[in-house]
Amino acid sequence: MIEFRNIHKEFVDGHPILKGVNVTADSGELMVLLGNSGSGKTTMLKMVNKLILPTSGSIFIDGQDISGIDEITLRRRIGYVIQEVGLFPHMTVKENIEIVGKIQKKPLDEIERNTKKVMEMIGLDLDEYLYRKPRELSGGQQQRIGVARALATDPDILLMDEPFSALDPITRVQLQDELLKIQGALNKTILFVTHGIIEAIKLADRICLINEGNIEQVDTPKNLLKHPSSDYVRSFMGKNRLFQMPHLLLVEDIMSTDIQGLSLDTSVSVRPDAPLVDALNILREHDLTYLPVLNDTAQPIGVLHVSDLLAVLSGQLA
Amino acid sequence: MTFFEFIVLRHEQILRLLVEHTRILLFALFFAVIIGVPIGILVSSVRRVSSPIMLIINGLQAVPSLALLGFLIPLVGVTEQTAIILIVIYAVLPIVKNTYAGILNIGPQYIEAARGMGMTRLQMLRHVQFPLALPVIMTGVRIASVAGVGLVTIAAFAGGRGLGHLVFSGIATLNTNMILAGAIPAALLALLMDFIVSRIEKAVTA
Repeated sequence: MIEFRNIHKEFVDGHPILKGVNVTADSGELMVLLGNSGSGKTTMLKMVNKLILPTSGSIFIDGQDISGIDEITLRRRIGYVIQEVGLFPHMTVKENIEIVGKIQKKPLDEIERNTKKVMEMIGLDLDEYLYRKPRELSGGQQQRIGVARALATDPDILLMDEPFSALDPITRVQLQDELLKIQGALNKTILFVTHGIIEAIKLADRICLINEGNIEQVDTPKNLLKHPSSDYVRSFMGKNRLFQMPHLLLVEDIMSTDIQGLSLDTSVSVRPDAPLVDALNILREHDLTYLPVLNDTAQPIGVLHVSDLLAVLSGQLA
Repeated sequence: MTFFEFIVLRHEQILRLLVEHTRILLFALFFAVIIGVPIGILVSSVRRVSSPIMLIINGLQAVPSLALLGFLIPLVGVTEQTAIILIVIYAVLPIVKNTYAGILNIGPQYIEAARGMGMTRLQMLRHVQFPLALPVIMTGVRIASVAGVGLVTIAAFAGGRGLGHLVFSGIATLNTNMILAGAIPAALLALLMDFIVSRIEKAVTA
């Protein structure tokens, strides 16, 4: 658990970069810090491993104020992945991963075991890659090693500073998928900085949207899209963004609950938590213009009109 | 007497002086490295001292070597030590400068990664900064060693035994052959040092 408590940060010239930030990332949560450049998201991230110190306010990790923890000790408990990757060019892949354990004087057999484990996790073949130098690897492979290095000593917390932003779109999607897979298995507490809305929506358990040093909203991607707390959030996330991602939309999101006095034929129906795409298929199959929505006890709670559905899927409704 | 005949006649002396020359050079280079590299590291890591030290170093380098020798002789005397001190002073300069530049010019992403994983200052120096700066440091050693060959020649003036002995004797006696017998092996030695150190430089480049 990482808690930011009333964090302020000013540059030396007095220009404020964070203006009283309060947010908590729960254990096992992947929280995306989302915002434009200059919003303060990277500053927030770097405060967690004390690369930047707050002007005022405190950060707690699992309830412990980090201002009382020695920075070296703190950093060794936290995995760190940066956009520029930063693999040491004079070391092989193996040395790059193992340096993390070596500087902590971990036993050699444990270090080597962990190297094998993390290489498997990121899906790179040991024999093929372990003794290569970073420059012999593609950008995507380098950042895979970057992630492996961050995981090398099995830290509970991972800080990722725009880790995939410099990669080409195809590689980026692959690494995002792998991160989700790894997170599914390891359940780390991850803070992930990005300016990419699509990336944030894809990866985040919750998104913390930051604007000019203030947190605008902290919520699940879906809620951020459906219930933006301010005009800024709405315009940042994009007016029609939700409707460009129909896989995020469920029947209950667009059904009409005005069913008073309607006599519904419930022989064909849909559940409220079904994805819209499924509802569309049912409507097509039965050539209907509307579809009753039934709850767990088979009571009608709404109706899905094909016109609404088509409007949403074609991006007309917002 | 032709130059060739002179060489054949004096080959034992020339060879002996060449060996002496090389010995003084390597000895001085050794000291220059063990003095220059730590100063360069200090200058690059403690910002407060970097300007004054670099100022002194640049100033020293601007003093003509013959003039410096003139100052040293009354202090140390006409001995081999004088020669070695002179060479060390000049050889230290490019080594400090290049160590400083080499460490300062390391990509910031490597420093960020090193700090982020929890390296101490010393670990960072040992595992990241020094190895990444080593090629640039070796360039400094190469500059120092080539310049050093010439300095050993001049230092013969103050009692350093080396090929400079032939050059100065040649000048004194207007013997061109003797001047060349000192100058040509010295030039070849400079080229050889340049070649050897540049190979080391390549070998340590990541």
